[in-house]
Formats: sequence, C-alpha cells, structure tokens
Amino acid sequence: MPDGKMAMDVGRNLAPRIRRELERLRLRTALLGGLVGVGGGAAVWLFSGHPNLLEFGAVVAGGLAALAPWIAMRRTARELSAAADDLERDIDLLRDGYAQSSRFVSASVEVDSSITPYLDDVAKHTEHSALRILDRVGGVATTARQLVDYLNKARFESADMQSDIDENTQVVRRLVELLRHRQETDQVKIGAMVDRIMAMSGNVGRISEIAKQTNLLALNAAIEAAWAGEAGQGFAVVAEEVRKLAQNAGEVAKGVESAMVEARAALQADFDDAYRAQVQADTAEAQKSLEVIQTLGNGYVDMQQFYKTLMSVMTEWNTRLSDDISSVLGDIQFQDVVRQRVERVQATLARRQEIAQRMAECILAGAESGHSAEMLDGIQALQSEFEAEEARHNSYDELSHAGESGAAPHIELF
Amino acid sequence: MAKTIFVVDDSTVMLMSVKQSLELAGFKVETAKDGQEAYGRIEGGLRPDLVITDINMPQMNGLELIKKARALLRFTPILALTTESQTAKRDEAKKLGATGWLVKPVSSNDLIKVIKQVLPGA
Repeated sequence: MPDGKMAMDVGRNLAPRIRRELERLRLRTALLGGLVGVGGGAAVWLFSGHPNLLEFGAVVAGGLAALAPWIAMRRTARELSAAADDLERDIDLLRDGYAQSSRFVSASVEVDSSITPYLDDVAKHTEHSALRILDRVGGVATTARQLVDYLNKARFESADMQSDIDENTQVVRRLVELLRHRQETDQVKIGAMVDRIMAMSGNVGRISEIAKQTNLLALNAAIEAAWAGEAGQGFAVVAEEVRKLAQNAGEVAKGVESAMVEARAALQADFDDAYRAQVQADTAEAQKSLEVIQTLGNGYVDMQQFYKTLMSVMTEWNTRLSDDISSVLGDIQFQDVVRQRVERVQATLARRQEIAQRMAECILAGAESGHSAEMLDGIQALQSEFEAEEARHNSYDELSHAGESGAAPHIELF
Repeated sequence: MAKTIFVVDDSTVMLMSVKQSLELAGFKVETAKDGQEAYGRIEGGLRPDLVITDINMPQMNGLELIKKARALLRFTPILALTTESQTAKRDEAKKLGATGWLVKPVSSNDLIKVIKQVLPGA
C-alpha cells in the first residue's frame, strides 16, 4: 500500500490523465452520436421503400436528436474535469500539509534539543544552590557548636573562679580568726609578763628592805667595833664596807624597781592602746576584705547562675537549631531527587527526538507506512517505559507523607 | 574512637549533605563518587564501620557494589540510600547482602537513628 507521498504523486499524475480521457470520451461520444443519428436516419430512409426528402429530413432530425446524450455527456465531462481540477488542488494542499508536517516534526525535534540544555542548566542551578545552602548550614552548625563550646568553657571558668573565691574567703576568714586569737594570746602573755614584773618588783622591794636592814646592821657593828676599841678596828672597817655594800645594794634595788615600773607602765600602755588599736584595725581590715570577697563571691554565684540559665536557654536553642539543621540537611536531598527526575525526563526526550527525527525523515523520503507503524509502536513503548520508570520512584505526595501512618515505609532494615 | 562511615553517591549534594549530618553527629566520613571508585578504595584496604551507598550510579551501580563489597566486608553493615521505592530492587539488594533500604530524602535525625541501630555503640 502506498503511503501519503506516493498517494500524492499518483493523484498528481491522475488528474491530467482523467482530463485527457474525458476529452477523448467527449470527442468519441460526439462522433458516435453524429454517426448513430445520421446512420440511423439513412437506414430508415433506405429500407422504408418510399424515400422522399421530407422523410429523409425527419430521419436526419431524429439523428440530430440522438446528439442529446452527447451534450449531456459533455456536461458530465466538464464537471468531471472540474472535479479533477479540485482533486489536483486538494492534492497540492495535501502535499503542502505533508511538507509542513515534516517541517513541524523537525522543528519539534529542534525544540526538544533546545530544551534539554535548559534542563541541564536547571539541574546545575539547583545543585549549585543546594551546595551553597549546605555550605551555609555547615557554617551555622559550626558557629552554634563554637558558641556552646564557648559558653561551656565560660561556665567552667566561672566555676573555677568561684572555687578560687571560696578558697580566698576561707583564707581571709582564717586570717581574721588568727588575728583575734593572736590578740587574745598576746593579751594573756602580756598580762602574765606584767604579773611577773609585778612579782619581780616585790622581790626588789624585799632586796631594798634587806639592804636597809644590812645598813642598820653594819651601823650597829661599827658602834660595837668602836666600843671594842683597838681590838675592834678591823671589825669597824668590815662593818663600814658592809654598810657601803648595803647602801649600793639599796640604790641598785631602787634603780631596778624604777625600771620595772617604767617597763610595766610601757607594756600596759602599748598593749592597751597602740597594740590593741593596731590589732583591731588589722581585724577590721581583714573583716572588710572578707566582706568584699564574700560580696564578690555572691556576685560570682549570681553570674554562675546567669551562665547556667544562659546555658540552659542556649542548649534549648541549640537543640532546636540542631533539629532545624537536620531537617535542612534532609530536605536538601530533594535536589538529588529532582536531578534524577530531570535526568529521566531528559533521557525520554532524547529517545523521543530520535523517533521524531526518523519520522520526519520518513515523511520527506516517502517511506513505506510500515515504518510509521513501527515508530508509533516505539513512541507508545517509550511512554510505557517512562511511566514504569516513574512508578519505581515515589511521587511528591508519597515523599511528602513518607513515614506517616498508611504511607509506604521509607526506611526499612532487613 | 569515632566510627568511620563510607558514603557513596554520584550526587555532590547528597555526599555533602550526608557527610555534614554524620560529622555533626561525631562520625568520621569517607566519600566516593561511584561504585567503581568505592570498590577500589575497599580493595585498597579501606575498612569502614558502615557503608551507605546510592543505587543508581554511573560506572558501577549500588547493587553491584553491594555484591562485590560484601565479599570483602563480610560483617560490615551496608545501607542503600536511594530514590528507588519499588520492591524489586529492594529485594535484590537484600538478597545481595544489604542491611537496610532508605528512600531519599532522609532527615539527619532519622539517618542517625538508623545508624545507631545497625552500629551498636555508635
């Protein structure tokens, strides 16, 4: 069976042939009609046995009347000729239509060819954007982790500082206690020293008393020596020396007593005033330092509490941030899903282009229609394969509802 | 010591996405762009604690990689991470020795949960 182009060629040759055959038919019909008319009239005239001119004329008229079919036939031939012209015109239109179809298919192939690079471009754009998003998400994750590390470090440093403050507070507190204890100890010691000085003063008094009695005794001895006369002269000298010794002892005892009184007075005065004042001042300073350190410590406790609260809030935010980053890292995988879908569409388009190109070539070349049927089968098979391939992958709705009850599981461990 | 996870995918976006997720969770990550490169690394001595592979890849696809890698990594879990959702390939992967089948996209949290299931102590 010829296909479209062969039909056009046959049709284009057929129209002039029809016209030529009609012209011949018209001439033959006219000739036949004339001959039948004249021949019939002549036959009637010859075989009637009474030929006369009037009858002959009637016969000729009958023959001419037989030309009526010829006239009708000629009209039919004219109509057929007009139909042949129409047929030729339609065939020309059909030929133009075929050429246009071929050009359209070729143009479609070119459109498909020009779309493919844009699809590539779309895939590249999405990949580029996805990588930039990944880069920024990575930056956000790193910053969040650094912030948490910094806060953790600050919290530990704050705890260390609090520990140092507690230790220093204890040191100062011990110092204050030590000062107070020392003051009390010194007070006891100085009191004992004063008591011992007082006791020594008593002893000095007794020495002075002994010196006085010795002096009196030496004086009595000198009187007794004088009563003894010459025999007592040596004893008088000894008595005199003892008296001098007693006087010296009495003077020394007075000096010692005087120094002890002064020392006691000085000790009491220093202890009661300067020393006590100094100790009190030192204690007050230490107390003040203790209070300052305690205030500082309280401040750090507040600060530590602040850090704890901040850490708690930051941890919560960081958890949310981590969840968000996790979601973004998952969602970004849609780029790969889209890329693979685009690649499947591109592959199908490429195969469709091949078929369409072959179809356009067949139309132009006027190939057998068996080729067209083969290509129609090819394009239908391509559609089936594309749909089957897409069915192997989840649709947007399936991906969007993955993991929900009733939806196909998107994670399966064997 | 951090566990090593070997991620195989021809998509740079997938590689980066999964790598970041795993590194944020404290894993050490190695990557390869296709099955052939991945198998070369394993043949060369790479011994990861877990393999995560795509299925549709150039050079050598994921199913072939699972089949070949299984001979060298007898007890290492291998997870398929793919856009394929139909049962035929999933069953084939299971037969070849895959440990699990994950359909893209998978959130980072879900991925870490699965990894902790197949990698005790991770």
